[in-house]
Amino acid sequence: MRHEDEDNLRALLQRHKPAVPPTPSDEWAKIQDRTLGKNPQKKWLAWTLLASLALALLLCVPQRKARESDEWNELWQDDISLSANPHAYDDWLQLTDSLDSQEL
Amino acid sequence: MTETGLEFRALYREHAPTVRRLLARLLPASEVDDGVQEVFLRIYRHRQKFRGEALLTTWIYQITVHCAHDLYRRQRWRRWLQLGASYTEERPHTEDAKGQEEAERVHKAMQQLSFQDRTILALFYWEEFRLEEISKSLDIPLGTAKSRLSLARKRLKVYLKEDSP
Repeated sequence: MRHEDEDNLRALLQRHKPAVPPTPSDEWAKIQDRTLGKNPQKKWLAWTLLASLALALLLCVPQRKARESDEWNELWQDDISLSANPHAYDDWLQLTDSLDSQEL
Repeated sequence: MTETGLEFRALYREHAPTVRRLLARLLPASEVDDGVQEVFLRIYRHRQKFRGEALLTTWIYQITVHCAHDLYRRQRWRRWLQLGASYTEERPHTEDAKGQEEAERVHKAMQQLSFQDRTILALFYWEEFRLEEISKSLDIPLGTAKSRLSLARKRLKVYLKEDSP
């Protein structure tokens, strides 16, 4: 590239350098808030949300576990009643056979 | 305020004008305020990684360029979603009509370049960095900085010619 071209390009770009926008007055406050966490209101809000979430989890998990446990017990009882009556399946087969023959 | 807080505030006071100026060269004016916050957030988060091998200013420049690139990509994605809305809403303003036309031409040509090309030209012509400083700030070898600058310059000239009256 010739020196003249280079000088012209430099001069052209220098003439049209983008302007720098003014610094907002609260810039440091915002940076401080995001880095050093100096906003007690936001901190308080974050802790409250976290505590509520933890409480909700603490309350919900045992209830769900209890419900699941009840369902399991019911299933278990059914299983016991079936195993206590080994002829139950044969009875049920006989019943369906008789119903089928009635339909025919 | 803690010692870290005081040190960080001193660092902000010393380097914020440079960071703001560099971001203004690389991004639209509307993105500069967010960019400055983002740069200092990254400086704060990664302050332990600075080991003094490079100059603090070089390290800050590296963070600023990375951050500007991220904001540019985010903006480009947003622009794509808005189906081709202009990347820069602000236009250059000068007093006379000829100057205005020339400013528009430079602005348009710079916008047509890739972020990488624009960055190297901005550092060289607007920030008046030497090639060694550019290579350190962009974390690339000196030879790469030279060739990138040369290619970016050629491309800019093509765009300027395309748009000349």
